[in-house]
Amino acid sequence: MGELKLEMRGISKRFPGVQALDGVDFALRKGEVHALLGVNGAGKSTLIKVLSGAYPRDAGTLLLDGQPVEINGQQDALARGIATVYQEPQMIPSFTGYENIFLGAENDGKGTFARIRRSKLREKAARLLELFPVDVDLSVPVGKLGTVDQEIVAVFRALSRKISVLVLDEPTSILTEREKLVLFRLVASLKEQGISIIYISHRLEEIQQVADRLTVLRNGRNVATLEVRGAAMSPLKIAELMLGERMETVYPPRASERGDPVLSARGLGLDGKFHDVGFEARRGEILGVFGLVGSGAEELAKVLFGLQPPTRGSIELDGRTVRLRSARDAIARGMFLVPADRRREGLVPAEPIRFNVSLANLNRVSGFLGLTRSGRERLDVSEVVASVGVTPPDIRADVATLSGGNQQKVVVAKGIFTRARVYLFAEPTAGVDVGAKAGIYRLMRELAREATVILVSSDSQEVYGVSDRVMVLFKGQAVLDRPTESTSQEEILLCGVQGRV
Amino acid sequence: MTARRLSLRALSRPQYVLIWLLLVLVVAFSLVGRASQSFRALDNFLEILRSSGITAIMVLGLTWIVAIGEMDVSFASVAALVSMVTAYLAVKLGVPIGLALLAAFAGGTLLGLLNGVMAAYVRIPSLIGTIATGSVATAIAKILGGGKPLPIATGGSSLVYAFVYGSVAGIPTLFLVTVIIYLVSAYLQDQTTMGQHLYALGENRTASREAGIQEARILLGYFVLCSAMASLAGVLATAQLGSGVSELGGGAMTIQGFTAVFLGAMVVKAGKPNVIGTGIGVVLLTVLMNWITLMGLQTYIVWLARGALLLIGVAMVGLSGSRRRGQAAAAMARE
Amino acid sequence: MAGNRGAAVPRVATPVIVFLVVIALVFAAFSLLHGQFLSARNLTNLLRHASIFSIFALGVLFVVVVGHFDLSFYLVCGLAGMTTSWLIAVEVPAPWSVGVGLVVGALFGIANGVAIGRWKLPDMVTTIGTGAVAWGFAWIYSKGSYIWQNARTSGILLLNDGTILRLPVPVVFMLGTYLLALLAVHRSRFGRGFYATGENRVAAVFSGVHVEAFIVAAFTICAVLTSMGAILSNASQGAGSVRVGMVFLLPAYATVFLGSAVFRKATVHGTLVASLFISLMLNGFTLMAVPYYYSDLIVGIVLIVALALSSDTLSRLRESLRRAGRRREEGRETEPVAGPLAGTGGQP
Repeated sequence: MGELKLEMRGISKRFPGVQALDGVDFALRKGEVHALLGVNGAGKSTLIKVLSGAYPRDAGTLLLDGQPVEINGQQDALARGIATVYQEPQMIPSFTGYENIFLGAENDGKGTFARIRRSKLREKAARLLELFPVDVDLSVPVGKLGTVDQEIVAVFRALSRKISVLVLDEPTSILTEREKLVLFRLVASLKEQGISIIYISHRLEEIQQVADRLTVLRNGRNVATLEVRGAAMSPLKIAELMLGERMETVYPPRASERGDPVLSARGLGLDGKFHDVGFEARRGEILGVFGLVGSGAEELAKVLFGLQPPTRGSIELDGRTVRLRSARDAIARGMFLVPADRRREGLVPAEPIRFNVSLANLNRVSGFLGLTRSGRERLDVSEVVASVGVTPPDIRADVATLSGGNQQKVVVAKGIFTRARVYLFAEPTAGVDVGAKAGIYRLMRELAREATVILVSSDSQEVYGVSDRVMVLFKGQAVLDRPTESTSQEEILLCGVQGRV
Repeated sequence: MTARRLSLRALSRPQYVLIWLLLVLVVAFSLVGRASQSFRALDNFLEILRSSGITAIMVLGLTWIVAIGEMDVSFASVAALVSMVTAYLAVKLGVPIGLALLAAFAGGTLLGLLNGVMAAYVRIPSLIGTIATGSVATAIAKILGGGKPLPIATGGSSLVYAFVYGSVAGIPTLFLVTVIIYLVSAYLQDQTTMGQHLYALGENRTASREAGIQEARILLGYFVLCSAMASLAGVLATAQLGSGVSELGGGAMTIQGFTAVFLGAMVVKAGKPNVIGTGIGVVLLTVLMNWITLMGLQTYIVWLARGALLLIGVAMVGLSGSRRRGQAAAAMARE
Repeated sequence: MAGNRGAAVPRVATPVIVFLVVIALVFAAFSLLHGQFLSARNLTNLLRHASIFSIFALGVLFVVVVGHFDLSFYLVCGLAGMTTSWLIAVEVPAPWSVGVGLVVGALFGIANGVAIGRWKLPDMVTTIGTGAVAWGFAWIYSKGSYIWQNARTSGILLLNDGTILRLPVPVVFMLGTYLLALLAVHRSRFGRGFYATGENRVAAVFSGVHVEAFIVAAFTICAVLTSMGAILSNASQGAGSVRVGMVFLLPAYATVFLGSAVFRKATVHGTLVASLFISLMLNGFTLMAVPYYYSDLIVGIVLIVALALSSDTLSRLRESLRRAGRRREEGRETEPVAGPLAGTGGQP
């Protein structure tokens, strides 16, 4: 160990409106496990995508074994021995493990009509198991395997080719404790075989267990590279590095007045996702729920909106217990969710703004026999659209023509149009640029004056900046529940990342 | 999808219910009811075998089209068109019948190319695209024949005729060859890369693409194959009927085909279309229809039976939870 | 932005104008090719047939708008038509006979809607199945032969021969249903629900739209409209026929897709214009004694062309939207815009 397997120098990559990578230097030693940390949007996935050939870079050099290389596309990266395993890898559920591993390369790619000797595949798989001993049954249909086994199959699929660099993208976000140990053992055996590993994760405790070095990215730059077992390492320091000294976004001031509880949850649980979650969301207040992937936060938002019934616990609206049977039901009761995936879940892109904004409350714009009252709609929708700050405010324009931030504002407008009393926001600023983000936070604060707002996000800065009260979910449990002023960004992040401070 | 080992115990698993059902029906129809005598007549059996042979060839490609997650409702029209083109070439243009058959076969296969290009490259939903090509095919067939069947003087191609009506050791050649084709196809489907990629694409296009499987080219290939098989069936039907027709099987061929595919899918491979299942399904349906005809049952019962069987097959596959693609529910309301 | 809207108007209007010109040309061509084309009798016939056909196309439109396909309507409507004819033959008063016929159609529509909307079965094979069942039932009445008893005396023929305000009854029905449909689809909350269900079912659910109800409604409306069309068509023939709907399968879909290609979206007015065009063609062919299969051929080709154009149109639309989106001053997408759809073939 010591010589460099991979070196990235001055890598830059720009997307319209945002500089995702800004001169990043990254060095991977041969045979090491190198962790890559950073908050959402720091540039981790972009860096990996540049490495794996999914994106071309704008500037910088890549050196493999000391030689400068150009990676042209994903097949090229694989040919050079660089493989990536993403979160939630795609599998063929009815195929066995070894069939999935060798998918597409069954006869070394030659001969469509060539006989598949499954025994040979099984042998090859067995040989992989010898090199990387894991207790997994590769002759069972993958659909019947547990999550960690599926991930192992995905890793093996990468290993089935000759690779020297393996990138694991958040491999443990969906694993239990015991399952993680299995993965770590696999990683250890990969190391023994001389494979260099880039390990993207936000779980500090795991990184301490499995990695040799770590690099923190922030705003597209490499802010630190440390030895994991070195003296400079401390969780607090890492959190500070990930967050930076000052907040760059301007958040509106927090509320001082608190009203009555509008929505409360008691002992709410969804099997396998979260359990025993309770809170009171009050009028005038923004409750922020911070949780990373796998913490149960996403699922909590869905349960609160009636998209899934909880397996345990109860929800109360204005003091009365309610059973939400569907999103329609929730909306009828005065709740609204601004969903995480605005294109797929929030908008009908081929329709104009006015169509989208009024969709959740057609009562308001329809009159006799259900006919739409065009004039009324124009006035009301324009008013809401203006108050929300969509540019350009032409309500006849198709939503697909708007920018991400404006599209999100349209979704919020849809909610406002329903005159909801409970607003749920799930990842509201994903893919939204900084300027529009401020606008959305302003909106949330305004909404909170008359209603209650619950923000569910995996961006700790956002949750800290916007909410009056913070709840942090870690592995399905609420590990922090306090007024924001009594905690800090770092504390929130650490709780979300390792369950405690 | 491990290789099946043939043993009695293996055969009694639920996947093979269809075979047992078929055997039970054959026995029952031969012994019970007023049609039993005509049913168990040798000539009748031979006719059943011949008929199911042609149908089986026609829907061989269809099985894989459905398996890969696409649709083709043009196959019956293509078969009819092939028969009509053959008749037209031979009768109206004096082309030697062997050549006519070949030309018609080529034409039918070309329609498959059109289907494939539309579905794989132009990205037209395969259902509506094949409705269009099927209609065009039927229309052309009707134009050529003036709206009526076009008889071909028999004794034309003795080869094809012998093939259809000949027999080896008492079993119709046609049937034997069909069985061989099916066995070969089953081999390709279960034991080769081709079949592996077929089912991979059918279950999860994204995963297959990531694994480097050439989706578009393969789709194109299967559409061509489907129409080629339908064209082959058209060739055989021409010989069997002795004339070109504009519609095969009284318009029921399309339904029969899908019923066979869906029933076969459910029963043999727990929801995945497969050739052996389709083959058994075809024989089963042919036996059923044959018996119904012999019994002189009203047409409507036939159609009710057809519709009901298809719905049962579809419901079983649909409700069995066998997801074709690993993608989340399409946001564009294509199912 | 007024400037942008100004640019948009000619862009949308061009295909429509071209299409209208094509219609005019075809009309002129037929007038020249056949002396009888412009005669009062032919034009009235044309109008009658076009009206009946348009009603069929309208039914199909609803199913296409919610993003599905119905391959049963041309058989279900036959059953409805036979039911009505049979009831008339057994001396049930005409209005009741028609009502029951429509109810029978509606029942199949509801069955389709529930199977596809609620149980999420694949639409094409399910409707193939229900169609076959309907076809089977349709034969029960008369073993497939025509039913014409009492047609004259019951007054049912008035549905074709009669006039209301000097317009033939089928035309009045067509105008009435299209007006209702126009209001319902383009000027009411129901239309919003239909389009939302068809264009982005997930987002519709998140917006509280009752998508299952809309799918059931769409299939039911299709069944009822096509049943009405069948009853009208039987009235024009003077007898109930099981095959009445068969001739409409291909042209109805061709119409809806042609209208959708020309007008950029599946719309009521688009369907009307396209159906008039196709009826015009079919009428011209009949007059010139062109065998029906030629017209099938042409309609089939029209459908293919319309499909190719609409997917091409759609991808061009996507592309220009992407460019328009990037040209925006304030705020950009950080990730490339994903197209709203990609034709994945298979079960549409």
